[in-house]
Amino acid sequence: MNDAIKLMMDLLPIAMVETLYMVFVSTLVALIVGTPIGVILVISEKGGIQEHISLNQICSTIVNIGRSFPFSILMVAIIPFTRFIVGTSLGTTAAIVPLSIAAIPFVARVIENALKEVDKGIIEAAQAMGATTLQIIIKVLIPEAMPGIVLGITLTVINLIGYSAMAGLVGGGGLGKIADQYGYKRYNTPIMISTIILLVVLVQMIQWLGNTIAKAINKK
Amino acid sequence: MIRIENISKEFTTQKEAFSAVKNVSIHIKKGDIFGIIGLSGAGKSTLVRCINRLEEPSNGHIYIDGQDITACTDTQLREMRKKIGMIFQHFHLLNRRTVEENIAFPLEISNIRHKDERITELLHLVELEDKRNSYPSQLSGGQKQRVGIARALANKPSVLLCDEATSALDPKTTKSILELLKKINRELGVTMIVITHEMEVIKQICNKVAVMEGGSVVEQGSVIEVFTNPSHPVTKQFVQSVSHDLPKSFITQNTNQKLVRISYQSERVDKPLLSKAIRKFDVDANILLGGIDHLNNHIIGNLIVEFSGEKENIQGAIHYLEENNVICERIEYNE
Ligand SMILES: Nc1ncnc2c1ncn2[C@@H]1O[C@H](COP(=O)(O)OP(=O)(O)O)[C@@H](O)[C@H]1O
Ligand SMILES: [Mg+2]
Repeated sequence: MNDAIKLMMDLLPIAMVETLYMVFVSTLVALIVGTPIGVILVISEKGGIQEHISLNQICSTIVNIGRSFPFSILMVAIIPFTRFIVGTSLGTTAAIVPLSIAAIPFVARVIENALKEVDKGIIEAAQAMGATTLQIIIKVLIPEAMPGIVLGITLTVINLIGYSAMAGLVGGGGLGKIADQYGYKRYNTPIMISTIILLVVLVQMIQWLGNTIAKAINKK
Repeated sequence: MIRIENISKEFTTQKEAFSAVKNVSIHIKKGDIFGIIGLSGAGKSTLVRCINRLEEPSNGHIYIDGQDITACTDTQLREMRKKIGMIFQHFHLLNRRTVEENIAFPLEISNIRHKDERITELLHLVELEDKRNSYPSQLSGGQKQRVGIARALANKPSVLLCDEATSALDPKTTKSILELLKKINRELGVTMIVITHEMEVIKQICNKVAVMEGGSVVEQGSVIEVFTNPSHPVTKQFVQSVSHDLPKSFITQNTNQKLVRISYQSERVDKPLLSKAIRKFDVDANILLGGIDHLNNHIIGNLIVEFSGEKENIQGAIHYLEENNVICERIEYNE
């Protein structure tokens, strides 16, 4: 029994850190790449502040293609690309590549939806004051949509936790790998249950955090 | 100051083209509070939104201080917009900015330094010093509109466009907002264009008015002229909406009696005209109703008088009154 606990103490904290690391970095990458795409989707649509129908259609198509890949297939399909970027397709860092790529179109839609919630009248008021498109994006659209964006990021993070566990099955690190190698392949039920509990608690905490922040910054 | 020349605006929805504004020309002088009144859907908002090109006019030109806003580039347009303030029915404040930060917004857009002093000045003007750090959701409708006004004035515009600025407010708040607009017009010399569907608003602050129906201006002139002598049916309807009217049951009509609505500007009538008319033409006048209207800074007297006597004499009396700057309108009750 002591051995079992010792094993857990050896494995789980590291696995937890790995999971958090994968999720954090890929969320960051997805936000950096996905946010501009989401913004473009909103401003270039018909009646948007910088209407550009063909650009809108191109972005929308790319996002749809990205989102139509199941994560398991995407992960395998881009192995050559992953190797090119990080030099290997195995390990925690390598898993960040497919996770980021899966999250980019997701974030783009999340940002798009949040920005679309901003009252047209407020945008128009800013235009009437002589604001440029960039000023409207930075000073009106994004700040006004912030509560929605926070909830969207929360959703993204939670999705990525799920995906990261999947990545753990095929060479990624983190809680998914522990659950697979010890819980599943070596019939270590306590480890299996522990990883599940950790994942559940993690998801709950992130959802709670997201809700709390969104509520605090919502001044409506 | 503002010359609207033959402005038209067509909307194309699916396959249909719809003319929301038809060939409208209006000249607005510096310092005017120019009212545009019309029923819902008359095209008032579309017209006023053409002035700062929130709506691109399909045809025509708009000159603001001689510069044609319909012909300028995007960069020029943004510079011109900074000098055209606008306030809205639903205020359109930034929800996640405080009052102070909302007022700072146009100053940020214009890269103005020393924002604090200007904001303090504006908060004083709209009497909201104590709400500086409140969020819009913590304010009443009237207070929100005051923030809207302060924000619109931040860049010291020469023109203020008000699109139904008081339509979401209760009568008492409406009055205080209109007083504030009047003060701004008087003290800062800001020219105003006031869109409304309420005659009361026109009556309280405007000196000029245009009446719109179906995308066209059907009548325009000084508020006094239009108010005392409306010619178009829509205008009459608006005037009636704020005038004291007689219950129909009051009236016993026969051929020897004529019901007349008499209006006069008190400063233009200095003789006892009615009693003179009665004596001169040998008619009787029964005053059924009387009232006074304050139009901007003028006082308008209103009477509803029942004349009885010979038909020609009644005509004569009415003519006599009309020759002396009194406006007479026959009231017909066909029942
Ligand atoms: N963007 C638009 N597309 C199509 N029709 C419009 C649009 N904006 C306004 N209209 C139409 O133009 C007419 C005038 O509208 P509006 O100027 O808002 O009237 P008002 O302000 O006098 O109530 C209405 O019939 C309205 O439906
Ligand atoms: Mg309107």
